[in-house]
Amino acid sequence: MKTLTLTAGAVLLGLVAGCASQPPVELKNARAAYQDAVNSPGASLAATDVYEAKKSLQRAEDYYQNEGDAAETRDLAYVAERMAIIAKSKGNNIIALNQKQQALNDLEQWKQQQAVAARQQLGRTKEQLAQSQQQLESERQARVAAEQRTADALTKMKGMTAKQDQRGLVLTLTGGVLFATGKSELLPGAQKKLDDVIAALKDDPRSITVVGHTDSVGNDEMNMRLSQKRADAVRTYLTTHGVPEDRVTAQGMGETQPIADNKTADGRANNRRVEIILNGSANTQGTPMPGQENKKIP
Amino acid sequence: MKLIGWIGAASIALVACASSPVPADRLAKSTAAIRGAHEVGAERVPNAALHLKVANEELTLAKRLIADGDNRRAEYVLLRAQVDADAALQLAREDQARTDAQRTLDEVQRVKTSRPEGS
Repeated sequence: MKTLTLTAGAVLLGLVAGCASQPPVELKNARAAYQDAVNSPGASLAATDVYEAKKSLQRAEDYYQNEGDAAETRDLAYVAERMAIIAKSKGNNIIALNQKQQALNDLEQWKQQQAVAARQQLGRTKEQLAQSQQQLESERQARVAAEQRTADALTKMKGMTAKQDQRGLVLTLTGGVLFATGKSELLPGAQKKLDDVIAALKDDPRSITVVGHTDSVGNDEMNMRLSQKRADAVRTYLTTHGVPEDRVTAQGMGETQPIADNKTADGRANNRRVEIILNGSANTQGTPMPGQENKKIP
Repeated sequence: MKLIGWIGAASIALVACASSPVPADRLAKSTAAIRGAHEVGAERVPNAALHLKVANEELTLAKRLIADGDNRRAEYVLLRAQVDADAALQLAREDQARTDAQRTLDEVQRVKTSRPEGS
């Protein structure tokens, strides 16, 4: 009986001691919430709030030490838990604000990079354009120079006239120089003159039109055929002596475009002619080149 | 900070005075805290809404305790109401900040991946 009494007393004391050492759930929650706040990613960013939560928890712990599981202990622990929640939330809040700001900074930096890239691209494009323009200008100047050389060479040739009109640079060879009367075969002397023409045209890129003309002797149809044959003969000579075929066309005009009076022998001689036209100009089409306006070659 | 200071002072005062005065100041602060949480839309954020609901219940309980003359207990309950309202306010702000940050990140991503205008 005595043993039973002692045992029951020991159990009772143990239960009392156990209950006395068991903190209220509010305090347990406060401790856990504080640890959660301390371990949260934003803890260092909300250091002041974490510190206040710590002080609040300490106050609850002190109260618990002095007063045990009193209502006020639970109230103070409850407050400490909320303050830990608030501290953690403030840290998360700051992280979110920083993320937003970082995103905006990234965007701004990206925009600046885009602007720099666009400016660089624009600079490269301008540079390429300038180079293209410079190249075009160089090419144009080269063409002008070539045309000038052609014109200079042609004006020095005897038995021909060179003039600039709206069609281009027109080199006129009188029919008597190239063909026998009524014939379309080139005379031996004509070949020498055409060789000189070919040499002069060597570096000139312009297309060429060979135009045959007759006087008014004979019927129109015959003159048209004869002028075409003569133009073809000149074209054939040119293209078989180095002038590319695709640069040269031939055209017979018959007696339709006289340049002199067909009633006189001199006039008819002038009307029997072949024109070699260098079409257009690299400089200004149809405008006479300096020193090339209607020059009569001696 | 003020809250902690008040807790200390209130503890001493409550122990010293057998009959506590009506906690009008604490009642005003708790009421203002709850109003502030409402204004930031805490009721629309689930975890914030929970704290706000508890704060309102605590405020109601405190008013009943005051009516019953238990001012000392009412003061502590009002303290609970205030921190719950503060927690609701803060959690709502955090939610708003997270939403803003995500929206900004999405927008930045959209801008970066979209084709330039006029191309």
